[in-house]
Amino acid sequence: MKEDSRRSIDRLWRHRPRDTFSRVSLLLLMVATVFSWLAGDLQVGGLFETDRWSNVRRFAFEILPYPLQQHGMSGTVGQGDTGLLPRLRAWGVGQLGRALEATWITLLMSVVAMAAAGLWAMVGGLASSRRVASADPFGSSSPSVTTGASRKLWWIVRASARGAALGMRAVPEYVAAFFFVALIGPSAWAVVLALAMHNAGILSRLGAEAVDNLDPRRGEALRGLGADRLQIVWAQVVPEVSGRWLLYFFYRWETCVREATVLGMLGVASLGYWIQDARARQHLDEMVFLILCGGVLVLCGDGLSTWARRKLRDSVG
Amino acid sequence: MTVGRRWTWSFRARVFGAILALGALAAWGLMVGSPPRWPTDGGWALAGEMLRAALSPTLSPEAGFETAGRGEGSVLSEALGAAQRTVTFALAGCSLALLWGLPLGLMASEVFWRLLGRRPGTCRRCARWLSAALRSIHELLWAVVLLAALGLSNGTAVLAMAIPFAGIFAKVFSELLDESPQSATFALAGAGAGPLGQVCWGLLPAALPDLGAYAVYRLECALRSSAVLGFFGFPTLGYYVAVAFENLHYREMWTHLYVMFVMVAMLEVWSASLRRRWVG
Repeated sequence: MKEDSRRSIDRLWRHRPRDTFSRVSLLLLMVATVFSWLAGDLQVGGLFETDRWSNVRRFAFEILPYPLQQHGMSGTVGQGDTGLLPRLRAWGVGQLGRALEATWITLLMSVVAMAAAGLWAMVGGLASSRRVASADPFGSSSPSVTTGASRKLWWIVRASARGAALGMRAVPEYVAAFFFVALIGPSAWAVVLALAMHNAGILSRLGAEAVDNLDPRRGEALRGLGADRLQIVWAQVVPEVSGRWLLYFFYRWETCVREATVLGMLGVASLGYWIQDARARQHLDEMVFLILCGGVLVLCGDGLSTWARRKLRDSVG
Repeated sequence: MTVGRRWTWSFRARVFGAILALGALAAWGLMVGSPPRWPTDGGWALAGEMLRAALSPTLSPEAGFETAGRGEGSVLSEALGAAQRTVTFALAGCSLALLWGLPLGLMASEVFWRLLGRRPGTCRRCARWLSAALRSIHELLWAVVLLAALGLSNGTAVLAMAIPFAGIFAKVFSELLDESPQSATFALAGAGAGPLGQVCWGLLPAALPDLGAYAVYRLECALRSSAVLGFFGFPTLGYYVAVAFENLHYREMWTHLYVMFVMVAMLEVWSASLRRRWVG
């Protein structure tokens, strides 16, 4: 009995699914990872030098709000005129005012960029869909209905929509931002354009896939009843695919909020700009405060997007 | 017609309308602070030069006072060296993130606590909040913080990537674990396996293809992040891109960008084929 079960386990082991490509890939990955840690490029030892830790202590002191730092250094409460608490409050109010404005602008930038990207992707996604943008939309695929010229025309429409989307998403957003900053100078609109372009490319592609993955029979039925392309799109495709589209939209928006924060570092008056500014002036307390504001913004965006996606999943129809 | 009416008043239609309205409002709000600018002649010239340079990337440094000491054809060797370091940083950051993300992901999942026979209480909530906090700050901002705290060392870049990635791994892994088929854990429990055995031999193997596929996808993201971290002075591709951009050496910039595109594309093809094998 025991022998039997051991043999069958052996047999299972020998006949387990094996895949050479995956094995070689994993082996390569592991070797490369070990190599990357050992190769010495990382200067891991450098993280544990003693002067680093004194640096960390200095950092921990300097990220305290400035009035607290003064208090810690002088050891006295108040410097003649005011106490610690009023000064702390003045510091907080001053910081918060600017941080809120920068956070607000960052939020606006991400919303504008995503709305523009979404608008583009609705058209671009439909235009690169195999079913919608064809000479015989949702047709019976019998070639007799269409002429060669119209087939060629729709092929060109589809290819250019897809090509545009590919080009837009292949350029990383920061490269696009470099380009637009060169074009129109450092302005919020340079970042908005860069984010809108990149995300429009991604959303177009995801949107087109969602359209093509719909059950084609309903469209074909409408086609059989004599509906034209726009009628099918309006009555069947958009209502059915809209849930998917919005899911993708919110998923990308989450990422967009993050990117908008960071891209401000290129010199646009969003959070990133003031973070970079505080860093350049060595005002670490302001820097950390602004970064935390960015973190709160991202968390709020995540929460809103998760809530909206759940509602969308639950709302059928 | 009924289809149309149902659609018009559905929740989704209202969300569509809200997005468009908010987008227009936000555009208006943004215009108050920073009026949209049309490109000036100088802007067109600069952008045109940048685009033209894309057609003629260079292998030799472009003329300028800062090219002293850089030999003929050194741009490519710089780019390849930077590419190698970019991969090194990405692998190190990703592996470190995996090391922390997997346990955190287990703790943030519901099924893990069910297998341990406890209610997912404070511990799970703490793990979830921790992972949210870690990932709410972009890796570039972590780099800014860590640079101020630790100074410029390549280990700083790895840490800056590993921290938010660990948070993302924890979040996604916990969701994948909760959604993975759990029949094996029930079978193991029926055969008398303890909680640890159920986790190691029932839960993790069943979820492994999904977890692996996501980890490989994340490696792609790590490669891009690692390149971008160069903007802060780490010796990855982004550093050379930024330096070339600031010196208006657009042809050099494109050489580095092309090396990066090729590298990212190669990894994407590879990881896509791996993911197809694992999750279909």
